[in-house]
Amino acid sequence: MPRVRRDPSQLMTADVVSVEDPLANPRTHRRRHPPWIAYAFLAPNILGVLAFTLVPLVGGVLISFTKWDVVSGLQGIRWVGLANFANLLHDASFGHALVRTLLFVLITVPVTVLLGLALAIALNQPIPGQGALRAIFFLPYVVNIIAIGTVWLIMYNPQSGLINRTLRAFGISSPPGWLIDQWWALPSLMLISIWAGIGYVAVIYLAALQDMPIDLHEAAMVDGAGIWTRFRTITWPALLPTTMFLVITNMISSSQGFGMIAFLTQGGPGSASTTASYYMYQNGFMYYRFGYAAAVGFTMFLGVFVFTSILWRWQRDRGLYA
Amino acid sequence: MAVHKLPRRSVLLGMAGAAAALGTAAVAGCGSTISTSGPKSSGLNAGAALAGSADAGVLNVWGGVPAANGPQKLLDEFQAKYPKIKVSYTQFVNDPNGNVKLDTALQGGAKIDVLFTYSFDLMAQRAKSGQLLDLTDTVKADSSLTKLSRPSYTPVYDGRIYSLPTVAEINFVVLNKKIVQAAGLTIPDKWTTSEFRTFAQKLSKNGVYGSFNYPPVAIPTLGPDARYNADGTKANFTHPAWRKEVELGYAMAKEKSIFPMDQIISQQLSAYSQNAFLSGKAALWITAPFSLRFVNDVTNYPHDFVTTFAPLPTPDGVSDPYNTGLYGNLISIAKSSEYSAAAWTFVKYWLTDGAKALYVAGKVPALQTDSDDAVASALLGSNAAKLYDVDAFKKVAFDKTVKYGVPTKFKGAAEMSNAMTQQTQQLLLGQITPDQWVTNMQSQGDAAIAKDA
Repeated sequence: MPRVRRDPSQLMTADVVSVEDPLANPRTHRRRHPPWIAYAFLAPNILGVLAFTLVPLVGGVLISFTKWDVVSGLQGIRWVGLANFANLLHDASFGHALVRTLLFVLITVPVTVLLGLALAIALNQPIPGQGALRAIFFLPYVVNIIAIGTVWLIMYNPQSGLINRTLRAFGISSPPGWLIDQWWALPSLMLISIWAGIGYVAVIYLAALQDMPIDLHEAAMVDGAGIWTRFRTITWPALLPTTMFLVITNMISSSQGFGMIAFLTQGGPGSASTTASYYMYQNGFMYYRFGYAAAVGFTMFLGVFVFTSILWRWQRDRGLYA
Repeated sequence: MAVHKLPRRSVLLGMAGAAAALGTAAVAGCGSTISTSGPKSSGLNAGAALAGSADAGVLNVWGGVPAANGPQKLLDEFQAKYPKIKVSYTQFVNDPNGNVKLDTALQGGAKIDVLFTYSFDLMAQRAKSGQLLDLTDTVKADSSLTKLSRPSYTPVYDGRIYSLPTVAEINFVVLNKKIVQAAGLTIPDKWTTSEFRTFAQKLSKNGVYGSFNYPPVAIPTLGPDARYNADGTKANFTHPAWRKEVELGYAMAKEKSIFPMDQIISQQLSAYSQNAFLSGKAALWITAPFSLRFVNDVTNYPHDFVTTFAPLPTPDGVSDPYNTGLYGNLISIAKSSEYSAAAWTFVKYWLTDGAKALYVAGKVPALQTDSDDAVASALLGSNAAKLYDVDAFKKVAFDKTVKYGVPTKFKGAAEMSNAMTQQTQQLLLGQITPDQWVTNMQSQGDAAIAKDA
């Protein structure tokens, strides 16, 4: 049967009609079911979201206005209004934990995103073993946190660890104590976080790079644009939505970082690596002050919400998203 | 024909509203009690009769010791003796997460009849919240439990007994006899903390640290409530006994006569301190009988020296010190148990005949019914003559003159313990001085107590 060539403009017109005005066809209209049927199909999901997301979320917010030790059960809950939040304002330990969290986020997120971008650009080049290299760099993101922590614990050992032995071999007689040093504990954890996160960032960037139309670059090259000019005027603007996504998701996950701290330093030495999320854990699970812990969590949520809103507004104003 | 729409915004608002309502209901629970403080413990179930039959029932037991380390054997023997009482054992990890899991299970209505608590402050919290059955009258009515009705062994909350210790956990010093003899030192029958330090200094050579840890001063001097002032309203870290303790630790860390804290953290040895002693890197180790199972385990911890024993050093100038060990591993009956009479049968069995099944875990029964020789033989295993100085063990571990105490003050206890761990780490790493330790601990201790006031 011979193929019939159709005018592309007709195709487009037909598509637009079917998308924008589905009710224009009375036969289609008659077959539509009432909308409650759609919601009936959605009900299991809605119930799931209610039970496992919204109720715990609202419950958590309400608990932040109470004094509760869990052991006493629901009848042991005592409403204290804003007292937990007022206490947070005077709690120096929380203030320090908040500063450490901010430092952690402000350093790890940009560094992870920038190094991830550099890695993605490198992996996007036609190099031998490209697939294997991508898998290797992505590996830390999927490996169990305890396995990663154990390896870094050994490497960070101030006496026998690979890092300090290497530094000593280069003539540094008193290298840092890393995880046991009050000044280096947090940077050591940041380094692990960056190392573990680069692979994920690179994979997302790589997908964006490979979706980018090559003809723009070819046109720019014909016009005599160099590598840097093409990156600045074509690649980077095209990657901005991806960058915003990565910044926001990394910011949220960094501010909630807990597992590596719990395994490697338990917030120490002293309280040198106690971030807000670990402080929340201490108050809830170690001291049985779940109301206060919920107030820490809610305050953290508000902080992340404000940051995220600012970033969304910024990118919306730049026309990155409608 | 009109198209009916359910606006997305309305649906989302509806979901949020429903969540708020459900969340409120969940938090409020029995709405009328939301603003009341926790129930008073005394009178909650004072004098409550045990429910059900003493010889029949279905019991769920939650404990921290892995079933294979004794509880399974105990359960099997119990089932053989009481076939109409069906018992299942759930092991929880005795850490913050594990304990919260147990508490939420209790709150969630899980059927738990018998439970273990491993810290005194948590026991007080569980008693205060009305989760535990008041055992006072039952214990006092039983002449075989007279020893445990004394306040020096059993914790009380508001004057009532809610739990009983199952294990006598004396603290003592274990010594690597080979290193001690090579240094030409005599193992002491009695010593002071200063003598301990000198002893450790002499052993610290050839890559060996004299001791894994430094001896306590404050609790032996002041008793188990050493962290609190007399009325429990303030911390007590400015007391000279605390200063002496941290000065001793600081000095021993500086002179490297104790195992370095950087290695304890880096190798996570606080949970595996046996590694330092059994690898021969630390010649002395202040520990308790539960550590003997590692010495017995020559497959995983091969070593070629004899382990001998000495008592805990006495702080200089203190004539009648407390031992830092305790009567612990507290067993309780959940107040919600439908089979509390059967649960009591089980608790009594665990305290008496059943306790022998836990020798393998290095647990000396709180109510010791076997002779010292028999307990020593069971604890030290079949290879005792090769691995231990058995006579020294019997002399130290079963010393009847040892003074035990039971903590009675608990406000901010968990936070203070955590602060002490953090501050002591920094002290032994040389990051703070003893003066700073005292100042920091006093302020953090006061704050912790105030938060729980």
